[in-house]
Amino acid sequence: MISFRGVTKTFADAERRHLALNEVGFDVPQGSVYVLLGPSGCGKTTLLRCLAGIETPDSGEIEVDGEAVFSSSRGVMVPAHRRGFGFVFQSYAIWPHMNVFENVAYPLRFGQGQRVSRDELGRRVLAALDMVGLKQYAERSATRLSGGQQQRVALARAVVHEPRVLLMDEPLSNLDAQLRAQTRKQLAELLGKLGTTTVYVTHDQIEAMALADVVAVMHDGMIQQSASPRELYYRPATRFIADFMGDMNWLEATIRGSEGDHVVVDTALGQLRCVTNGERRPGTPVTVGIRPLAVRLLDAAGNGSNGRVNVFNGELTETMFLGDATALTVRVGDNVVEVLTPDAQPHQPQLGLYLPPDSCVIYDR
Amino acid sequence: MAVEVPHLRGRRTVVSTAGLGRRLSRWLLLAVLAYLILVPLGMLLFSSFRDTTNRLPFEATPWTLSNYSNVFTSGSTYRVLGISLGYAAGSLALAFLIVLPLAFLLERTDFPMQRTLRLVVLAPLGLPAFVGAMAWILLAESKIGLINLVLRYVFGITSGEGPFNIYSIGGMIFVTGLLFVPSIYLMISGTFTRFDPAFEESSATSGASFLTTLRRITVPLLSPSILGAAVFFMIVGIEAFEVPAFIGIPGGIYTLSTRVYYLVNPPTGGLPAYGVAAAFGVVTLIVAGALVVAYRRVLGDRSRFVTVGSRGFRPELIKLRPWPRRLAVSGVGLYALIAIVLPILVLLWESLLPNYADFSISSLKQLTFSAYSQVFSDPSTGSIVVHTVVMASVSAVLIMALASLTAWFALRDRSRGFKVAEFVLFASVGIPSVIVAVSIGLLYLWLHVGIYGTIWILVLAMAARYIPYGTTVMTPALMQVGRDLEDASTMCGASQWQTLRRILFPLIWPSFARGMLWTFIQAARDATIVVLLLSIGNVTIGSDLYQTWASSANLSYACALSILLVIVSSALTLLVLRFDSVARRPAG
Repeated sequence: MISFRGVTKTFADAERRHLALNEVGFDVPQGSVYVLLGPSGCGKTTLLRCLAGIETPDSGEIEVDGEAVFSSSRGVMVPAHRRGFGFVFQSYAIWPHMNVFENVAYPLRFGQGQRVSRDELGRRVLAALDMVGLKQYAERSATRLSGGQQQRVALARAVVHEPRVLLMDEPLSNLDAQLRAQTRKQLAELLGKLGTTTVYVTHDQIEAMALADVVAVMHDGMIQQSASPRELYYRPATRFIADFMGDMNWLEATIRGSEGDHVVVDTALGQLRCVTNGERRPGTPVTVGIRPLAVRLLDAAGNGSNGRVNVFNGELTETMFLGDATALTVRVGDNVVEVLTPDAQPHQPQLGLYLPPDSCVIYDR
Repeated sequence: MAVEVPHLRGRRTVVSTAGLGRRLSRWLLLAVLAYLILVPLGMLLFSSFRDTTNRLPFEATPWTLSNYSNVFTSGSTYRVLGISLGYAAGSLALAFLIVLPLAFLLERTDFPMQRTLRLVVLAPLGLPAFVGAMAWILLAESKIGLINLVLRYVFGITSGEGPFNIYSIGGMIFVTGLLFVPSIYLMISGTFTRFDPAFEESSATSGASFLTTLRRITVPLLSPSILGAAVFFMIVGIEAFEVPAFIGIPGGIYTLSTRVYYLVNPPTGGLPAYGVAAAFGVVTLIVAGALVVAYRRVLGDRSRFVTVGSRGFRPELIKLRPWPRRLAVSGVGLYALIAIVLPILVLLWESLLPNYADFSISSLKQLTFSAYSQVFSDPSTGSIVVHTVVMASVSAVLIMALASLTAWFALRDRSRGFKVAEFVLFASVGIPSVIVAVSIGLLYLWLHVGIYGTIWILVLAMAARYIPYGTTVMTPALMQVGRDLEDASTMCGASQWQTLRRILFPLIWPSFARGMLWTFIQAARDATIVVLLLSIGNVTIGSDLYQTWASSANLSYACALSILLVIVSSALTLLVLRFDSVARRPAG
């Protein structure tokens, strides 16, 4: 269990002061994978480094398993090498003057409070290498490893001393696209097996969703929303998060009233039912967002929706085949709705669209 | 889990002591640097305002501006300043006239035997400046210089003098220019080698001719690096002491450096004019400072030019046609003859003769190794060599240790103190050796800590002189290591000391060793600092040779010792160059 309370960190260069972390507070449940997601410069790496102890926050409290590792009020700053964490760096930071075995053995040899016999050392290092599939590379020089292999050595080194917290800073960003997808899958499996509380930093929303139990989106030194990947994708709390997580259809709308579990709004398409989030008075101008992937196409018979709400007729103006999916541009009256569908068959020029109410999210304009 | 202490949980307050230790060592290091570099300069400034007619500057003597009025009203000051600038600029011009075609030929064309010839160009690096001066005095002294003798014989000149006279400003420029060649070559050849040919190719595909491309693209892109080298070697020329001392002083030609030396060591045997010397030193410092500012400007500009493709590819070599090729080969051959072969041969010749003699068949019979056996058997030479080796080794270790720490702190801990330190270090590259020596001499005349007149004062002066160079070696080395490699060790639970010992030091060792070797060579063959701070108790090879030469006591001994010095210095220089080529090899 990790908890942050009011953690603030500023960087001062020549003239400007930059607020990297602004009163950040959150909890990471024991054994979960907590992913910090955000664009570059949002403070996610600074947050991770503060947790690691490589950076010192200006103020705030950081506790791990109920024990303060940093507390400005009590004057506590446990040095990084005494925190008992593991860290995978974006650059991997594999030491070029050691071979693979020596790299991985380092925490057991020189780490604080490690007393490991020779036999146990060998066993644990080889077990860690076996876990990442590099057992046969133990004697290889670190400079003769591919990027993917370096990444796995870095992971083995970070977990060989059984850290109480595993920290990862963009560990996949230096791999090419194909290898990244493959490694992501292996990593998800491995993190599940290890069960170590993990804090993972990335700017890639797909990576975040694939690996996380909880995703926290950071912007301007603050956590904007932390939620499950599904929640975050379909019901982002702010327009910033919505845009950051992927494409979105934006519709201007006016609040009309509520009906059952939903809010009804007027749009240029017609009346639309949306998810209720927050109280808004009728007449309030808002914006409605819905993912292209959430929009469903009705079949020729007009089937595929729950009743007749949120159903519109449109005209297909453009089709773009993307491989995994097909992107359709549909004109509804004066508006344009983007639709993403796995169906690659040629589509009729006249289409029925269903916008499921649970995926229509309202934002203040 | 390793650090958890259950019964203390919740009440445990570990106040970081690592931060305190780091702060402490940071301030300690800054204090040491300030003491080594700034305090002596303070002493110099102080002395320049003291009346030192019959006293030392720190004795009971009045404050005065007379030293400065003395400097600024004397006509000789302006002549000396003019000579210094002319000498530096002339040497620079000669060196570039040789280096630019050489660099172009050896780095960008299909010149034969490039590896060997590059070594030939760099060979004079093993030649200490004063040894080069000695050799050229033997070759081109007006009456007895070997080249003059040969020319007079061949052309039947009977005047008994000339045609060359080494004891002239031209002679000084000639010798210094030749000595500059290898260093300037090292500094700028990289830009030629790694020049991205895409810049030229895109000019050619735009329809520009070879000459237009050269004029519009190649030269403008190369010029910042050439200009940088030019300004830097202008500073080196201003501070040069050895050639002006060996050639200039006998010819009555004084530069700023030798003028300061003259004032501190009046040849007539009077009291040293410390006050005026200090004022002169301050003026020299200002000239050098202006050049440092110019150098910083040029370096700042350079970042705008992205000429170096980092991919480690080699641009296509330009094919030379047969006759320009023949011309180029003979040019390089001529350079080798003048820059190394002749100086070494003349020293070797004189070292093997018991008395000075022209080259003739009859003198061949007199050839003897007695000068060498004197070098090896003379106990005073033994103690001189021990002094030199101890002084240079201690200097090298001290300089590189302090330089590495400074570079590390400047990179890792961006505190204001180190930003200032970085700037001061950069600027102090321009502090002439002569000024360093005079300032340190004054400081320890005043501070009675028992090092004046020992080799330890030489060590302190070397440190003040070469720590700035050390940091320029260590900063890129440390930058290459990258912070993550150190942080990764910390995250593995290793203490600061373990990280230093297991990660940082092994990774920077090649640069560290190279820097030590380089500073060792500089200190061991120095004939500036050791001459200015010379006492009975701290004679080194450089100052011994200066004394021997100036008193014309034992020519063959001086030549024999020089030859040995050149051999050792060349071997060590070759080692440094090997380190360089290892460091330059692309990783992975």
